[in-house]
Amino acid sequence: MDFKWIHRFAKVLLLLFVLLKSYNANAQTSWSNNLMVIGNNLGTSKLTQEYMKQTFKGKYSLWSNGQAVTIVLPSSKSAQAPEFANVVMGMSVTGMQKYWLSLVFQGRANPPAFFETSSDIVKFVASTSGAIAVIPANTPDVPNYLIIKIQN
Amino acid sequence: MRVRLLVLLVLVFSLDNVAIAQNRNTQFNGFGHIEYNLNNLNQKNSYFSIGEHDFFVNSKLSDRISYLGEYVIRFNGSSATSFLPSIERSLVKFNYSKLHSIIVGKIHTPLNYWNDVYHHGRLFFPTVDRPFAFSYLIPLHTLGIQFQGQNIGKLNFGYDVVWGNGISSTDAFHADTHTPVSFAAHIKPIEGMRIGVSYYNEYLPDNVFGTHSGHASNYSHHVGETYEGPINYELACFSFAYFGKKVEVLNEFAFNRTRSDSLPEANNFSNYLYLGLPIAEVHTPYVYVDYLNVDHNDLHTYQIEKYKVGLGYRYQFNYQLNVKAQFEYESTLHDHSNLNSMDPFVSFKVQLAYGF
Repeated sequence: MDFKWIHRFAKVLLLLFVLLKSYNANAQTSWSNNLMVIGNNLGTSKLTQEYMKQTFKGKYSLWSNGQAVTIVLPSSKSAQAPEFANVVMGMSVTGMQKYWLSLVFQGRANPPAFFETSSDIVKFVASTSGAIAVIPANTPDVPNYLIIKIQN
Repeated sequence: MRVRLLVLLVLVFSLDNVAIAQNRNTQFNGFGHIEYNLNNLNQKNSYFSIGEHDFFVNSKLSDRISYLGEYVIRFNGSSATSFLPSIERSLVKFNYSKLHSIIVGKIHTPLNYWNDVYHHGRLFFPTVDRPFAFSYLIPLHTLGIQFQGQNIGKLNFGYDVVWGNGISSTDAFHADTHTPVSFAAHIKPIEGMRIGVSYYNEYLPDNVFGTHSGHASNYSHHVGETYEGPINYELACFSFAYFGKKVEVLNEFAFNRTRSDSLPEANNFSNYLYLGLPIAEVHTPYVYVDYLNVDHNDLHTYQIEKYKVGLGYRYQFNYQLNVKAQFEYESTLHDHSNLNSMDPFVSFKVQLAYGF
């Protein structure tokens, strides 16, 4: 068999990869001061911005202390959902929901918990070891021990 | 009386809390689709059909252990009720470290992107149908043990090593002692991109098909007696997937080599290429080309050559509902094919896919 076409095909894919990588490099979103990260028993009180974002994309299943990661997301009816989806996930609310439905369906992550209000999110995180969420920075009555500092 | 009432109330609230906790740990989903087909085959036809309906459960059994089940009901004309249920996935996953896990149960083989990502959820399919390779070359399921790693390092490296029942097995029995091992590895260098390779090798002493192969359909195009001697079945796959905001690319390549004790080795391959251009997230016009070539020496799948090209459009109402419409030209080139697939034909398909 003549395998020259495989080499040509590989070159085309490589070129495509380089183009997409350069395109993607401009698609980063920056952290917002309007948002605050909260977590319960994560084994740390500080996270880098990148680690936090990757966690919300389902990259990690356990924290450094061995606690299972529980992702908490704003539901589509939540007022904060568009900002969260854009800043943290780099997608639209629909994109975020589709992303997580697909990830769970693949069996590569446990389902996240969805809540409509920030107060419900705070209550859930406070009662769930390993839970992490992002809420508006002006959310009242957030216990100090839940607040996670975000570093660049 | 008051004490009894109090005890009753406490019990009711306790049970309610248990139910809430249960809900937090277990998620149920369903996926289904309905299709309309119009084609200009020998006998022109136009019909609606109800597709696979897929019930999905995911449950967190402990911090590190979870269960996943996928149960499908599909139309089957030979069934007494016209429908047949099947367990497509049923697995227990033990997450023994941050990025590594062991999975035991019935799984989809991780041999290419489509099988590992879309499973039976038409909601996630970029086009109406699966690539040809799924009907001829790819072993779709296996029942066994899987070692999985994912998102390792900057390239998000992932691996799957599977030791499980082979092509000739059923969900409850395997007639010989040859248990195949398959390997798959991928990287996700940027958001939305996944590049993967895989290898599968199985020795089939009697060349028998069981429930795990997706290519038990050889008899539909093969005319004559079938070979019942030993076959060595090798499969190597390469997948490239990129699903970005402005462009979607999926290429699935499969190379299959079979060796028998009667004829020289057979080299078979297939390639599926999909290109989509999402517009404002909801509109996606797309094109695809699918080609399959099974060698004349092949005694497992049997010789066939076919291709199809298609042009379609997908509209996403929301993340739980989409509709796809596509025109497709399909041609089968093998002389021994059955009459229904001999002549080239054009079809128009519409698929409404939903998840809940």
